[in-house]
Amino acid sequence: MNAFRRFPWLFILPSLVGFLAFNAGPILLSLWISFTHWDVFQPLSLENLIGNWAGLDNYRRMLEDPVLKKAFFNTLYYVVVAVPLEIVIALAVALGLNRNFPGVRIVRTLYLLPTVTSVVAVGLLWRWVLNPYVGPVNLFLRWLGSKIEALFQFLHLPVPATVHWLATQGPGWLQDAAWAMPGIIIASVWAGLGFRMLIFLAGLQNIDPTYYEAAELDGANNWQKFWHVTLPLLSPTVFLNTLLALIGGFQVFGLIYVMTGGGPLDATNVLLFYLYQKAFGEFPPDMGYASAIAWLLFVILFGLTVIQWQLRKRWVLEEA
Amino acid sequence: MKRKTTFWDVLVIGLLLLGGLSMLVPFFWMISTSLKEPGSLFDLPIQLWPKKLHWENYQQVLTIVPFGRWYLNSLIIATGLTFLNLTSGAMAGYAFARFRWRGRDVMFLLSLITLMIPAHVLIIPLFVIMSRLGWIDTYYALILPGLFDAFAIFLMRQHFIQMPKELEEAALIDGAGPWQIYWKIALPLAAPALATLGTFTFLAGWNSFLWPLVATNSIEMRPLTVGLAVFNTNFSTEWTLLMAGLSLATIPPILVFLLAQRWFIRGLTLGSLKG
Amino acid sequence: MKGRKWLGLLLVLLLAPALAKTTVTVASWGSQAEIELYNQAFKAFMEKNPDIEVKLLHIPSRDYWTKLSAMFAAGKAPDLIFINNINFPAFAAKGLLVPLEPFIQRDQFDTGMYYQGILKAFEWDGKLYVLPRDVSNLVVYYNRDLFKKAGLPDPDPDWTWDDFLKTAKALTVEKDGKRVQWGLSFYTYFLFWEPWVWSNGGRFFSEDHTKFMLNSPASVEGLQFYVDLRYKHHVAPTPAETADQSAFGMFLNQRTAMIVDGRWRVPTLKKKAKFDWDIVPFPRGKAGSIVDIDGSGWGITKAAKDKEAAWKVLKFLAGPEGALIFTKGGLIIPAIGYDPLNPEATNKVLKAFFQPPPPKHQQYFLTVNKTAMPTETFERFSEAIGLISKALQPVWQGKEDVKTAMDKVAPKVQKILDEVQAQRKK
Repeated sequence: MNAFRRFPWLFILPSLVGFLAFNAGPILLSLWISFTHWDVFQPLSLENLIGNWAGLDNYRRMLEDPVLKKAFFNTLYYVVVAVPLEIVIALAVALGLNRNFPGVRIVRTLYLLPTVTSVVAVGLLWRWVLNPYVGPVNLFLRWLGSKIEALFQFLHLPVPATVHWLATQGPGWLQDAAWAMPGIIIASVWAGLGFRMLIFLAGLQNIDPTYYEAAELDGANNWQKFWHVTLPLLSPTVFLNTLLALIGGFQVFGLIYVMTGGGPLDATNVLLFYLYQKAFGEFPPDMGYASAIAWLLFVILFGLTVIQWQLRKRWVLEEA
Repeated sequence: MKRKTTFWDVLVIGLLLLGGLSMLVPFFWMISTSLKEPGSLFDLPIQLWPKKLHWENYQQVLTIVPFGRWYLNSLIIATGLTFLNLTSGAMAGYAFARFRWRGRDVMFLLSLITLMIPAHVLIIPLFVIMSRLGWIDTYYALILPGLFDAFAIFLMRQHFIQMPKELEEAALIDGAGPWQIYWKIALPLAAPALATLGTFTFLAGWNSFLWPLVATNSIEMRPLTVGLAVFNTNFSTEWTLLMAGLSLATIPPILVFLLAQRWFIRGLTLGSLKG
Repeated sequence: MKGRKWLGLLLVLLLAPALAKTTVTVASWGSQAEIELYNQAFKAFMEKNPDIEVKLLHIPSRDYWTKLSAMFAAGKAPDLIFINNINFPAFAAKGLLVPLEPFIQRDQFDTGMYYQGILKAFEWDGKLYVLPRDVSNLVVYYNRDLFKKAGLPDPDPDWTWDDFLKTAKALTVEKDGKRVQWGLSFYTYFLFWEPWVWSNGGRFFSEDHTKFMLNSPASVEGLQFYVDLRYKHHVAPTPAETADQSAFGMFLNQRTAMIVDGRWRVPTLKKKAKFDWDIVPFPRGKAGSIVDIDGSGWGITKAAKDKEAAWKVLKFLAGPEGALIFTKGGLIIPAIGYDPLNPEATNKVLKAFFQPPPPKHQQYFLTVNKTAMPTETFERFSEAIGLISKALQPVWQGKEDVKTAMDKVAPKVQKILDEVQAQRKK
């Protein structure tokens, strides 16, 4: 195996060239910019970067910024709820679609449609679906609530306040600070499902069918086959997908931009949206502060990634 | 191997179909809007499907803006990015999966860093670099950044790791070098992963907006996403034209995905979950 | 014959350096129709000035500054940029524009033809940097059919807030204990409620931007009057009643009888309205009828290579000839009013503005400009209005009164104002 024990120059070269030419420079520059008050309308030159040196100003400012704090916790809320949902649902769908039935290709394509459809169309549609007054979700919830209410009345029991609320009003979704984030989570888990599902599907294709045959000979049932064969063999893909979902979750943006614009009252203002506001949304832009937020995001993600990287040896097959 | 279809199979397929159909709704809505009379956004009651189909929206979008040119640009950009990405990403992914060298893990984590810094703060520095190279408003600026993509490397690495090593080891014993093994054995076996990656890259390239917006000056160099933004101005959006353009824009990615699934078949016929 | 040929060649050789064309790039946002108007204007200009080539750098409106900032950062700024007065102070404070006075004085360019309100809005530190193209303001659109149904005559152009309230009440219709029609549509974006503050004698900030004034009695009273239209008098629909319809959609569908809106609604109304409609000036409050006059125009960047050429282009685009082209397009209200110094040219522009009715009384789009004032913008206005808009969210939902909300946000906005003052002194 000696041939595989040296640095594979040839294999790495194209990526390395791309990295050095188009990634390393902007990344280092953005780090530098985060320590300056550089104004984006001034030429990005050594002179201007040095002349506008701000030390830790932008980072200190983050500590006192209540909106940033809110955005941070909103992001955390989103990640903690949305990422597990994404992974579990996408895996379930992938398992279901990893079989042959007539039209399976079409069904798989259906799941990818939201990724193809413009985010504006998806966002606007969800805004209507979640409209508290006329949206189908609340129409259904009110109908459900009124049935439950009727049941209580039929049994001559006092109607609980929540049931009455459901029957007459229901959640305010995007217009209510408490319900806006759940609304965003539902929409974005739904819209991102196809992407995660497809990665799982590709991983499932790689599993050698002889393993299942062996398991069947041992008399394993479906659940045991999933738990003892599929999941371990799929673990590299699960690792990949979880890591990507985390990174993506911390950078959720598109649907928030279209559906709520960070509102109401900053309830859906997340780190990337806030950064976008600072870099491009407000005028004049504040690239120094935006870059500092970007690097805060980076530190969080890098920390999480390193932890997962270390832990992977415990559960990801073939990595050990 | 043939199995009876059980009640559970029907239930599962039914649920999957239901989920899939829900995915169709915004797509349907986009197309229905594209066929409505201009300005009918305000009509009450809301029409699910227009009574009279206004195909002229499509005719308009094809004639009043350089739609064909934008379409071609999008195709060139997305195809170029996909090609670069598959080539360089698969090679690097294979290196990280099979080779061992000092500092390999550090290098890999380093490449993941690029996924963790939001592109928004990188765009202006990248523009300045491209501008120095004189590549603004050319395909170079739009395609070459695809040379390095951590997502591609990561995806390919995980797939090579997951692949059984036996064939490669046998070839090694037969005296093949890493390069030969990669081309002749590993890469063909990675077809499902390549198909997945290709779909994603094409989609990402096709949908990309902010970078092409910043990196192009002339209207003729724009991809569709940026070009169609002309229908979306501060005080009014021409929904019908915008949606007509966007509907036409969904055709290539859907074709790509349907096509990419051909390479899934191998796994499907051999290893369906319940065998 | 031969001699002439030689002479011709000699001429070409002599003129060659002069014939080398200067290129002037104009950055602008705009719809497809506007792009075509630009091309028309450029063509007209280049016919007269064959030595200058004018190029459009079109940028989608939502990402206008993203693209421009990248170009400035790379040292590739365009020669002319299109800018609105709301972003103007923030940009002018950076010192990236060229003051226009020297050019104006030298060429005796007549700035008297513009509405003074918008011209003033493009001054920074006492100097003019931008020549305006268009203005936007607000008028009251009304549904004459619904007025007639309620037995109301056309509103008097000099009506008061009291008249307005009475009219709105008369136009609000209830059926089985439920409102089915309202007096007016309700907007919450700041451009639409500025007139309620100003016409009551209130302000956003003191004139020198030292003090936050939206929590002053006059401002609060004016804005509260507006909010009361929705909750106290209930002559405008609440969020629940609006549901997923837009304010304009409700007017178009005859659910509301009036809407305070801008000129940009005319094309849609002409096409889609199934009723007789017209416009009337905003009602008079304690301080008069003061709506916003905001607008946009072009300025020359310091980065422009050939400033003379850039000025020539600017003079043409913003002058009567350019204004005529853009006005004919039917999309804008020209920034040029009638000018006794230049009656023929300005009259042409005005005439181009008047298109076949409706609205019958379209002259109000122009007359309101006399008392209108520009948005009280300053270097960090975008940040300040963001805070104010956020603070008003509970007010629009009827959960808080204006005074409480504005008092709450006052220290935050005041802090921005103080920082701006400190910055200005530097």
